Amino acid sequence: MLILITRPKYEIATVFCHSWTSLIIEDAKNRGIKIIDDLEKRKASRKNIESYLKKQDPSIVMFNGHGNSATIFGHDNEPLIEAFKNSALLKGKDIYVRACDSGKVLGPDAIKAGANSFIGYKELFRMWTQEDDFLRNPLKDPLAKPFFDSSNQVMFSLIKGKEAKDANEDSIKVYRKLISQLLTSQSENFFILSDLYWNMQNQICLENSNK
Amino acid sequence: MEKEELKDEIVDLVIARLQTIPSNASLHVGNEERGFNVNELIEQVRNRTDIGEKFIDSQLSFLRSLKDLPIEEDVNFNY
Repeated sequence: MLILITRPKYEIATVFCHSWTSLIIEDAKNRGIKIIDDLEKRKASRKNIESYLKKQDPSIVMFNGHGNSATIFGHDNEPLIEAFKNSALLKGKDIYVRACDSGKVLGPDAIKAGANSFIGYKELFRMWTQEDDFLRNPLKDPLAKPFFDSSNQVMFSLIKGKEAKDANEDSIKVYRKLISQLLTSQSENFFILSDLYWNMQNQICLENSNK
Repeated sequence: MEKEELKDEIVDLVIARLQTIPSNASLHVGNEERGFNVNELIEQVRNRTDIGEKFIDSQLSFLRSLKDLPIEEDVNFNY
């Protein structure tokens, strides 16, 4: 199993994604799984991602960053993967995109182009943060934690060798557990519930029936 | 009640809920480069912008879901 990850880091949302993805990288390393490259910050470029996808053979690719229905963006909003343009590079791979909207157009296009699976979001990905207090240490942000514990679970499960639909289901279970905890506790952070629920409802898993 | 009046009441309800959120919390949604603080979210909702409308929709969607959400037992997941 080989893993490729993009982690741009150029504004607040990507700073948080960058930090929380470090837990996935650490988990992979602890399991002895090779990360082909951690394309972080400026390395999250189109040139690099295309080169690695063409020349290496990652079985799992995770994209962090911003997106729209047909595009995943890298550092400084450079388009990395675009539907109907270079999505064929995703052929044979399990893809997880932690970005907005790409589940709408890019996801189905990636499957049609031969990707094994595509887990992403069909609406805007949301997260609450206390960025003024935790921008330098996002892993300590209690508002952000539920959004990343639930979404990180996709990769934790893929890394364990699970099929995409099972990895997605594991993630959904984490969402439901966290939602249940917030509903039944006296937590002052209950206001994040509707947005956590939104992400859960809009997380989709597409699988290639021809794999 | 007219649909527009109902919508006004819903907007007022969402704004009232927003006003209970700590001022140091920010919501990141979409491709904005920084989060919306509570006052900015209230303006988005009050002005019924695209962001505001989606925020209202998500609040209503969650409230409607409450009757269906089971209380989960401890789920033994490990990663």
